[in-house]
Amino acid sequence: MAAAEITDSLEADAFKKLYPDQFYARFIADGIRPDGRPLGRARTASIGLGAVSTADSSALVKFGNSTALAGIKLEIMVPKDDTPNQGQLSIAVEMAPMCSPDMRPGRPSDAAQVLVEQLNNALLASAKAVNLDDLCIDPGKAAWVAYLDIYVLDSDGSLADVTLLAAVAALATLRLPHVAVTDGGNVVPSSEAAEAAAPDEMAVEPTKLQLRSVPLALTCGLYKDQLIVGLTAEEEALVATSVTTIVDDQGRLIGQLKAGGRAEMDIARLQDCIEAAKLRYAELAGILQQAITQYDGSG
Amino acid sequence: MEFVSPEGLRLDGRRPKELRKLRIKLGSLDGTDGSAFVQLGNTKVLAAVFGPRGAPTGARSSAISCVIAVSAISVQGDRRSKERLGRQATEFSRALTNAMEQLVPADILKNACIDVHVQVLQADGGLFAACANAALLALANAGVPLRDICAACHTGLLESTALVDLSAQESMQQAPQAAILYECRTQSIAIMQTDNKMSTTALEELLELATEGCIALVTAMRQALISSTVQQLSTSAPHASAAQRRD
Repeated sequence: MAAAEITDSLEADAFKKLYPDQFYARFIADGIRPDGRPLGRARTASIGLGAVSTADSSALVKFGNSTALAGIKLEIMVPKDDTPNQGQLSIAVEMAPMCSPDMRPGRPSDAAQVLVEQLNNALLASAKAVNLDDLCIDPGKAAWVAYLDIYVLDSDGSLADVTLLAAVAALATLRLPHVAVTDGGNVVPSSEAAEAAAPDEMAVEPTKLQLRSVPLALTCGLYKDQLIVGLTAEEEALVATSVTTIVDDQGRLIGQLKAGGRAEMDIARLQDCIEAAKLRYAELAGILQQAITQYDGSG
Repeated sequence: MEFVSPEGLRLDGRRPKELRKLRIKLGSLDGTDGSAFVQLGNTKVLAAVFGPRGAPTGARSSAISCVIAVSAISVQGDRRSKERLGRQATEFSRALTNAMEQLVPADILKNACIDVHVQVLQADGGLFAACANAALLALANAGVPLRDICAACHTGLLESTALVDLSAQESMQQAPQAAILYECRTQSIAIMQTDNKMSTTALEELLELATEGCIALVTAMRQALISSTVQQLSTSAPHASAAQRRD
């Protein structure tokens, strides 16, 4: 009896390895996916804020197995001459060698570069989530440069979605310390400067960086003319094409990327993707809000 | 600055021979053959193992490779301090690779290779000891046989008191420090690294304390490995045991 069951599960594993497409098709025909989700449901998300205390703010985000760790470190720079009122947000993505068996340490992979481009587009160019003027300390003299580093620790699909949520969560909990620029051009914590001027004044709480909008993403795929929402790495290899849709808190479309693939999509299908992204947005925004409230409450 | 109070307590409230709180989580990365998360006080590292697997074509200096990656967000201070720590990590990665080559039996590495990746998530004191412990636990979690059970521990001599498992604040001092990777069965030292000058008696004292620390760590690591294996067995074969009961 036990032996029969073991052979069954062995055969299922072998079948999956040898004929991944047929294996998947059998599930999809029944309207369910190998991990038990219906076609239209993305994986459960979890957010851990302040995971790394050496960073100025940080967030660990998981969608199923897909894991991204985002952290921000603040440094001070002299603003560029043509933008004296602006700080800088520098985004980097690193695929940790442990995130998949094929990853080799060394040169940043193309996949990481693509993710950086998508994040730049979502956070700065299109959604303008971060207003660089907010990072200014003293026009022409000093400004913050925020180094946002995202590490993909486990790569199991929908990386654009995971990294964007991690980036947004880290930015939303970033606090800018109060600093003052001395006559000599040095930047000191304003408590010291204030103490020198008026010793009785209390040190002020650091200000929260205000996000001008909150963009979040959802990746959908097309498999045998069915829309599959929230792809795993296995599914990404099987679908004919995939589309990443980014929407913001007011339901506006920030960006949509269909990077080629073996199938075309008509406009109605793309609309379906946008609708799915809006539904997912409500879910993720709730989880994010809850995480932030909890984090602020704990100090 | 006073590192040991008259009551015999260190700055973080520990006694001289007390380790920081150790947390071990095994097998949390599904896509790997073995993984381990180790938290020692505020030091957090994640290690993953791929292999033993077929050796890729092309030159490879050794069958086993261990790489420690330090991320910018994990380091206290600016980008320059990350680069400094990164260079030290490369040095220690090399030593750890050499030690692992001796620990893994040669027949396992015939026509195969093992890749060990360690990602530093948060750097505090005793960073490389934590990296070594995580890497060894990940190897064991991947089912790679090891000749001996080992652990690494970092010690220092501050104000003529030998302290085990230094915190970041303590290890920043220009005081004699020694870190070892200790093989418990053969009772021998696989890696030793010292910082700052010291007398031979100081070295002897530090090594003795580090050995004690390693033995304590090995006990905890062995416990974690046993309980994770027990858990794995009980979750992976529920239907098999149910079938046996029916018989």
